[in-house]
Amino acid sequence: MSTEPAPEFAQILSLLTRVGFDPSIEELERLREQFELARSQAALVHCLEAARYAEPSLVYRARP
Amino acid sequence: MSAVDSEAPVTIDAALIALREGRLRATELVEGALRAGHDAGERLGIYVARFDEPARAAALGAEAAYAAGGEPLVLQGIPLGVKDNVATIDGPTTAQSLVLDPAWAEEQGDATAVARLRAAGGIVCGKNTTMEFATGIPDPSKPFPLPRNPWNAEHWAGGSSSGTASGVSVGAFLGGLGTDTGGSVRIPAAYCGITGLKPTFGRVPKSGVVPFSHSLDHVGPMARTARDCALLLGVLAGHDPRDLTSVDEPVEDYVAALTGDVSDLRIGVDPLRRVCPDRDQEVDSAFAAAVETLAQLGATVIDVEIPWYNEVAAANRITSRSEALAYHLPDLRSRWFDYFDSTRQGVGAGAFFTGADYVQAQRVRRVAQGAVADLFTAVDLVVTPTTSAPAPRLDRLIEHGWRMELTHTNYWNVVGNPALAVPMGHTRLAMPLSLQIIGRPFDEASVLRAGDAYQQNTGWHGELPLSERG
Repeated sequence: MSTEPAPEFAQILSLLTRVGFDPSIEELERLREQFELARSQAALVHCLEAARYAEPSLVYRARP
Repeated sequence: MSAVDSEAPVTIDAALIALREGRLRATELVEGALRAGHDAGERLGIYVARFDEPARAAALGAEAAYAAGGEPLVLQGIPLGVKDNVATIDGPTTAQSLVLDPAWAEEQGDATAVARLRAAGGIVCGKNTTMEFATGIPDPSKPFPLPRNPWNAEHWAGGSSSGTASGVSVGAFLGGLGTDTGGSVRIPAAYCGITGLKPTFGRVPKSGVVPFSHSLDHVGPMARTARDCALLLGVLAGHDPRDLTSVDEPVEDYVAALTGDVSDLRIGVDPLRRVCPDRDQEVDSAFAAAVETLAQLGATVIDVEIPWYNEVAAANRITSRSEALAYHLPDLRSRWFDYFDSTRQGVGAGAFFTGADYVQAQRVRRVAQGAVADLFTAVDLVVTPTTSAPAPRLDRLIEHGWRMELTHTNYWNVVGNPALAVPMGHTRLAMPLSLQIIGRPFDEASVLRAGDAYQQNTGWHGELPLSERG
């Protein structure tokens, strides 16, 4: 399942830098790992076909 | 020095009986707890702030109330701890952060959960350690205590309700408040060998609690036993119009539900080895023994598979990171290095999810709720290990980071069902292991009944850390 348009790390990083994030080089490496993890998790939820047209519950409540 | 006085009651239930029978004075109980907190507090990093004098004053009041006769309050004279992301009038609430404006907590007064504990006669002994904004892992570069495990101080207490768990374990207080967005009540309860409940979403108000992820955050009780958690939940539960996610559902008598009988319960069993195939055999052995105990008590045991486990766990991460980033974006822009290292990494990662990812994660939550409701037509409860490993060493945690996949808690924040962690044994190295008992939404009574029945027939919850025995 494609999650296009998927963001690129460099693209996001440039946005982050522009708004003032200031990570060190070592932190940048770890952020890159976080990015890979985040995108794999996003792919997982998009792969769940059964959820594609389920109404989102943005104000979440448990079902009694 | 031993923190726990061998004569002191270690459960709320036992302390209340002793107080009501006049065998124990509230001032003795509170002084003993303060002493235990003093002995172990710094060594284990239990407290961010202590409220010794207000606690002593409240104990005198409780003692006078008992002396006056009449029906005492439900928690009259019981020493309690409160996680430091829950506002109290006694002192500052930091959420263990250099970023949080102290004025925010001052404006809150007592959080609703704290106000309810006090109105029931509970005595707040102090504010307990967490990690910054109740997420991530400890950061030794920041000026806050490192939460250590009473069973082995080289290990982590777990998080993020760290100090409440370690404090209950050593008798610094008999119960307390934690918050839970992905397991932050149940994981430290598991690691410290105590009992912790994440109630149904909306069951306990969150007003006056520093938010992290508004649709996943829960407030829950932590204590030595399921019975004590039932006592605390009876006080904490109930609608609060100040919290828009609070649900107006009737509050049951959770203590009365503790019949010791589970013979009418169908318990679904999912060991979750498939999601953590490299875990230690000790977890499987302890889990199998716990299931066998429940079966011997008369419960019907049925093998089940929790639906879409990995997808729902991913939905937790997407939701929590996105909602947290929405709170913290302005401060991350200007104060990146004031945050804990793991907070800025974790919350900053919210930027890696798109709006479509967040919406799809909410859809996953909706369909998972339906699938879990279907599962609960065949069973009354589900049990899993709370974690697939005991508490990690603190130095390795700080160096290598946190393996969230070794915990099995965050699924239940996503769907909202109540989940209880109870001790189920320990490893060869005497580190606690834990059983997780999950129920239908708003059926905390069955969850607590099963936990209590299990504890009436096992001794794990009564064990004290070797270093703390009197």
